[in-house]
Amino acid sequence: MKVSTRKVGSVTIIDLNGKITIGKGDLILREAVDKVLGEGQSRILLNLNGVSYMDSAGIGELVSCFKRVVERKGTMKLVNPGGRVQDLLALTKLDEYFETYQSEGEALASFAA
Amino acid sequence: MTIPLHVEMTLNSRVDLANLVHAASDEICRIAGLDEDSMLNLGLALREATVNAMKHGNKLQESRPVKVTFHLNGRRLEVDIMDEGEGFDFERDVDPRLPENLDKTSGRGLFLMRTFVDDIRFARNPGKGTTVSLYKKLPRRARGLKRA
Repeated sequence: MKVSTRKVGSVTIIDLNGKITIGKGDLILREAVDKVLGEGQSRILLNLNGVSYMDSAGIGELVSCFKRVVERKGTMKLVNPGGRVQDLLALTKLDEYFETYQSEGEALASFAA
Repeated sequence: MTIPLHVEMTLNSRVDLANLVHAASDEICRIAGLDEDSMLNLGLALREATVNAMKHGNKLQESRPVKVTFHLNGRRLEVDIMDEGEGFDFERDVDPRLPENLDKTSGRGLFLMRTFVDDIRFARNPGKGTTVSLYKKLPRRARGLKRA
């Protein structure tokens, strides 16, 4: 999985590309979120547009990242989950747990609200 | 008349090797004529079962093998995943969708397995390990096996 980050206003967007699966993708996700938190940023938008696949370890890591961000009094939201990832989030009812948006503009606006 | 397909893989208990099993599953699903969705579903269920066998069955001791066997006949695809340990606790079937479980960082593997195959069976073989069997029915149009 490949990761890049960019800043829009006070929000750090983490663009994820590839598979979030056990042993690699999940660890890369963890490191990316921890790096952003380590830089003192706590308003995080995970862009899942490029994520093609996720297993239970990847789902667990999403939850784990969210909890770490909240512990730091931060906010983590999701944007652009593709078909397969959206299906998994809905199936596990995590679409009710995470604040999820279909467009980046909408997601960024929600941080300002 | 179609000859049933039989493929066996033996893996060290290293979770990255689940990718190898997943790739084999994809190829065998193509041979079976399963559609893209079925291929993804079985691949995910098998990945979860393989990782569970490595983690909970073999306690991630690399030298302990997990054996994965694919049996494809004209009616269904069966995949058996065998570990050498006690296996995972398949009787402890917690629903990860319950509100109190949503923030759990693990415990969704068995749920995904059950969701993405037509049938799943567990067998504990005392002293020999645990076998999880996943079953996927072939659609009628796919029952003549394709040659790769």
